[in-house]
Amino acid sequence: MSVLTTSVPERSLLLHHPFVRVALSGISFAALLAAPSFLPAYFVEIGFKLLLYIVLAEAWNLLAGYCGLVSLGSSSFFGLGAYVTVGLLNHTGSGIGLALAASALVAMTLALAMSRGLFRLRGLYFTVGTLALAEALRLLVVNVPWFGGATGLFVSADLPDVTELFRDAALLLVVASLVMTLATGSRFSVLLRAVRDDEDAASQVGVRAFRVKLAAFMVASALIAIAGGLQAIKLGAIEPYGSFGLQWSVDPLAIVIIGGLGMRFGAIVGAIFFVAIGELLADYPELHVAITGIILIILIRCAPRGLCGLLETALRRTGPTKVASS
Amino acid sequence: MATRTSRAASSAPLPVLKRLLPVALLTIAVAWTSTSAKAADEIVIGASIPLSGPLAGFGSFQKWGYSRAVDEVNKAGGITIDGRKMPVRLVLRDDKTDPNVTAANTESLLSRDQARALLGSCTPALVNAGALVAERKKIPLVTGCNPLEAFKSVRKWNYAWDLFFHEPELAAIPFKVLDDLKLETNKKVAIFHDNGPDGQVVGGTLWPQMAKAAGYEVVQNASFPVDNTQFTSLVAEAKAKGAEVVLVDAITPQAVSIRKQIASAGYAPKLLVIEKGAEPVQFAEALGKLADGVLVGGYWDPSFPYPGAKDLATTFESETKLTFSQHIADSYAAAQILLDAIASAGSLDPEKINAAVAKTDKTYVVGPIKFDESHNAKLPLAMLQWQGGKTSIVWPADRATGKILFPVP
Repeated sequence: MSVLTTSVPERSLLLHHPFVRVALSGISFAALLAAPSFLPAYFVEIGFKLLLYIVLAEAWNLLAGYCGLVSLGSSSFFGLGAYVTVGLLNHTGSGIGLALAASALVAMTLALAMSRGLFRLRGLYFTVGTLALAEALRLLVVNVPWFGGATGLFVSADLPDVTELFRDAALLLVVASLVMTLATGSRFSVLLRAVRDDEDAASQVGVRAFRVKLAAFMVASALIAIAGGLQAIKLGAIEPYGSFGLQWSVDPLAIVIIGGLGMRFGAIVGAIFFVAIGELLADYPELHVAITGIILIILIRCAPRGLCGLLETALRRTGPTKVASS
Repeated sequence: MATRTSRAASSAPLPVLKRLLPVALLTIAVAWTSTSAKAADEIVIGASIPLSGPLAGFGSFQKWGYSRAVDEVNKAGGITIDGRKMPVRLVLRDDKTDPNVTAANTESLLSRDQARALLGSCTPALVNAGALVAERKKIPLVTGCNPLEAFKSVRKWNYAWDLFFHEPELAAIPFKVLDDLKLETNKKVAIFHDNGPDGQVVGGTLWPQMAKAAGYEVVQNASFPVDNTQFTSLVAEAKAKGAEVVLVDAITPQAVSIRKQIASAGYAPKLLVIEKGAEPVQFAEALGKLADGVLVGGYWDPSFPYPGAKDLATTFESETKLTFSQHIADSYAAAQILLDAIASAGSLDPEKINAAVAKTDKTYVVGPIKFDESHNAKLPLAMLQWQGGKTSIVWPADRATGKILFPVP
């Protein structure tokens, strides 16, 4: 077992003070809420996309990075959130907040219902199981007339503008960040990692692995569903092939691998990189796909801890650091 | 036990990052300001079209049609705006056949590229996604490639305009062909249609109604998901029920599969109509001789008596070395309508451009265009038939360029 000992600079100690961290978080959130007022429209659009991707990646990171549940089922909860939100907006006239909350609730219920079957599967089998869930839901929506078939549904209510949606997405990001802080800095994080590293050993020492996985699965599903609902409101129209599209499962995975699997800021760094590359290469679609693929290959080969891992290593080398292992 | 010590700060990557950060910020700022500056000197028109994904075939034709119309205007010196000639810049983005991307692209075209007007994508899901953004942002969008009922059913449009065929007319053609050309069958009809927007309308509703009105018996009406690939049981049922008229509404990959599975089942209907999927040349290329005799409704052919029709197909084929598609015509016409509206408005004010689009009343390469109160412009239809790797018009008689192959060989 190796132990790392590092002499930490005083300014880092200050940053680790709870009061300073809460204050910094508050200032960041206030800046995020104020951003649409002074940012050009293009950056607000991109900002919305970025916030949505961060939430999706945080949720996926919670599952795969911290709990070891490598899921390809994000699209099922994303699509579910989109359909529940649009359905409620169209048929009950409920407000957006209520519709989004309901979509989170439905997603958690589905996660609960599916958990017994899915958690019997481990590793790759679990991954394939979640992929099957997404496909099954898509086919259900395509074939059941209530959901508008392949035509989908249109939002009949008046849609909010992107500034308001940006703020909703920022609020969702705050919720996701709080969840992640809890998941990575509390007793629960120890349980998550124990289950991730060796589920059987964790069970032997009294960890209720099923409950831990279920909690992570339900919370991640709820976050993804709300993100799906927000995207549906922004589009004003949904259809099964777009809402349950595989990209909603693959993109968060790519983002987390780029940012750093199981790293606290992996999702954020990865999403910024992913969205920036997408925008810079938007006029060269073939290059975009190829370059993203090449980056993924290089990162998996040379930096399995992603950009955050690289940055952490770089930071560690800059300080008057003594690193020892035993 | 191993021990490592840190490198000297000067050789670490962090100072490099610190030096690079201002450069990166400056680059972004320059890129941003140069985009805005460019937008002031030119007329930017944006389009998000499917250049990859299942509908990439349509997108390639649209790209050519849109670009051709813009190039022609630029060759003539551009468009006069507030007394000054300005060139037109067409910004195209790939929507990867995904409505989510269409919407995001459309937003970026408006906010990043400062597009003052838009051209549409292809198929209802993609066109509607972009049109909803245009509607929200109050920017005019002119499109083809979206059947009119599917377009009209979304909402009351204020800024989106569609020129394409009208599904009830398309659905009526097979029965008009059977009647006008006096084709003898046992009057039993089998219908296979996907559950996409136009599939549901044409196959699920209109064909059964029209068959009944024309005195035909619908012995089978089967719906399937858009991405279905297995049709053996549907074909076997139609064969068992003895349907001599088979009407299909499916996209190209499914259309190819259905035709192959009909042949492999030894089923030989006398009349085979495959709407939507049998239109692009890729259908005939994938099937070879099996494509012969397949009928498909068409809204354009170079032989149509409209200005520039023949030239458009000739230019396309000489430039690309590919066989023309109808989609070059509606995309070319959509771009021309928008460019004419900008010229007529003499302004880049979206409201004025939109008002000018509404006043369109002119004959284009696809025929006379005048939008109705639903923002629709109906394109007249003909029945095409694949014969030896090319399409011939077999109906109506006054436009026919070939004789119908009946029964299907």
